Amino acid sequence: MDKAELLEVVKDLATEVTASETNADEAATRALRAELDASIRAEAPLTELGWDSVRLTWLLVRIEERFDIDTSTLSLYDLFTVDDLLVELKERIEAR
Amino acid sequence: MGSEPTVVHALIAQAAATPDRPLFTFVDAKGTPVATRSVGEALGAAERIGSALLAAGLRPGEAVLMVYPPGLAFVDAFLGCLRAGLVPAPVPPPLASAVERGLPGFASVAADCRATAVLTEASFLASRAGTRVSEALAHTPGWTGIPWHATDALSGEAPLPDLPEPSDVAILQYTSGSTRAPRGVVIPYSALAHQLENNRIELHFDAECRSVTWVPHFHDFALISGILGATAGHGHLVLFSPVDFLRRPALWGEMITRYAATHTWAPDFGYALLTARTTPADRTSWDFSHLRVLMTAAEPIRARTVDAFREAFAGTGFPEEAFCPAYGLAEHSVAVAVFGRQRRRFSREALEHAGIMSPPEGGPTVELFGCGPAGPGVRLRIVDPATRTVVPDGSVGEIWVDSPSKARGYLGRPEETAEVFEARLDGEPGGFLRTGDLGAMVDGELFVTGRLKDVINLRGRNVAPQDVEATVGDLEAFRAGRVVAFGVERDGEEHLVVVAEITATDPDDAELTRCARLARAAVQQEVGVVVDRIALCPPGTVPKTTSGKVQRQLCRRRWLAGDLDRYATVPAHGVPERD
Repeated sequence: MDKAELLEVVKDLATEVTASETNADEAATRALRAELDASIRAEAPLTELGWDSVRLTWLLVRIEERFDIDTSTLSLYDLFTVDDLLVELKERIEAR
Repeated sequence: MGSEPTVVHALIAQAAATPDRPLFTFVDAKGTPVATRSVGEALGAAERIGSALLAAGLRPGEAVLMVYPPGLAFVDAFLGCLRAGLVPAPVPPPLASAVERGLPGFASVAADCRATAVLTEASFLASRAGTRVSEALAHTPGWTGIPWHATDALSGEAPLPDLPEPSDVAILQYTSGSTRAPRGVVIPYSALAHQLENNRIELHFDAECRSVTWVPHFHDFALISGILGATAGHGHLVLFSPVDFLRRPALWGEMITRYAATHTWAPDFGYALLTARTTPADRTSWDFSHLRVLMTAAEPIRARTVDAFREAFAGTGFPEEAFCPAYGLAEHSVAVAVFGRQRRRFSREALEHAGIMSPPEGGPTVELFGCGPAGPGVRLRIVDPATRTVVPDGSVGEIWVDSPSKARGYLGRPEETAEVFEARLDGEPGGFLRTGDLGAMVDGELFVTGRLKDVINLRGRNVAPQDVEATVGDLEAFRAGRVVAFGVERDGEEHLVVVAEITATDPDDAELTRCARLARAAVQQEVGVVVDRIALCPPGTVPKTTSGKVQRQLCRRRWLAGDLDRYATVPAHGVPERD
């Protein structure tokens, strides 16, 4: 899986996390996904996407479940941009 | 703490009596113990680090910033500071993605307390966040260029000073209320001694107790009640990372079971998460029967959370009498009142309009938990803030307290200290701490009903609305001074709402979406909290007083009544909803 494909999955999962937290209905969930499509950039800080440490943690849990990887050693102190996240995930997925 | 004058004396006395007794354990995400300290080891680490810090040029009495990820490296260094006579000021480590948000806080805290060093651990210094922080600070206005020390990699020895006196300053606890103007609460050893002795008596601590917590180590709840409590002789403290709790809340239940915990504590949202994100299968093997105290504090206690928890955990042997609603604040070295026993319904109308705690009369009600009576030696008064007179039991007023646990004041702010810490009541000796919280005494227990100030409580964190308002008002798309932030409750949880006037006239949906996105990102970046809803409004919408101050409560009432003139409200999913 290349980074572009991985990014799409991350967007899906991020949408799920936010939709679940905000009790978004189907239309709102679609809008949320569209919002992520419009706003996400590889070099963007994760916080720019509204992902605080709580939301980011829950996103990592979803990613673990989807890819059957362990992200528990992935330090939040080391994730700055979307690209940082993708690089770390790609390494773990390839090492499975 | 018994007869020991300070917590440092207590640690030394324990190390002489029971050097091998376990004192601190840190477990990882899987619950595996990755670091432990016996009493003797904790003292040894404190003396070694304290000595090395003095050898590195620090001097007793100087303040130091402490920036650590969760783990025992923090505990070692914190106790090392106390042993060396340094005054630690613990602050949260910034995430790499939020360094910019943390920097002004870092710089202003360092300047405020005239810190002479930043202490951390080697792994944080080597992380992206650590690298970014240390590099970016060099370019941050107000940064004094003080050195960083990784305390787990320090060597060097210098003679340790005499043990502290009770009147010495022990710690500086920076309040999280405002990132723009952090206030350092000056806590002397004498205040800690009173607080910890009250904890021992009221919370039934002894050296055989076992406490489990994931609350962040820089939070007064964990720092004083947990780390310093264990240091004073309250048994064995098991810590784990709040991030690991968020990832897998079941870890908390597993650790309570494995260590046969007698004490644990968290804000309401922690219990809600533990209940919602664990299954009956998870709980089957859990044993909560050893708990003497399951404390809920630091944010409003919700009946729904308590009921769901009780139902879900009934099979764990959780003793009902261990349930411990409590109230405290950093300015009082934490606890004011603990072990509330009452759960009462009051008339919402009487409470909100007359400030009276009346029984329900058929209309809407509000259900509240008592937080217990004032602790030993604590003078607790409910005061009309306008007249500064004590109100009768059952009437709501500002909570004022005075006791030896009261902190000395805000560092370097004599006027604010006099106003907040030395408020006078006719006919009463001494000065009282004005908590800024509202409450009432009912049948001998304190009920907390709200806040005098407009502080917003988000997941246990107190957020100053001024911080959010200034952040949004600074953006070019918004009108400075025409932004209001407040909290509203939804599904039993407080959420952040921003009402803001924008500069654009006749904006289309794309412009509204852009404005909302800008505001959300800025608030996330600068203040570190998530905006739930933002109302984008034309000029003249935000109500102001004649002196030009925004009227938050009026604005909030208009928002709740749907009576705000707005272009649109943009919820978290980002799609403008026009009226």
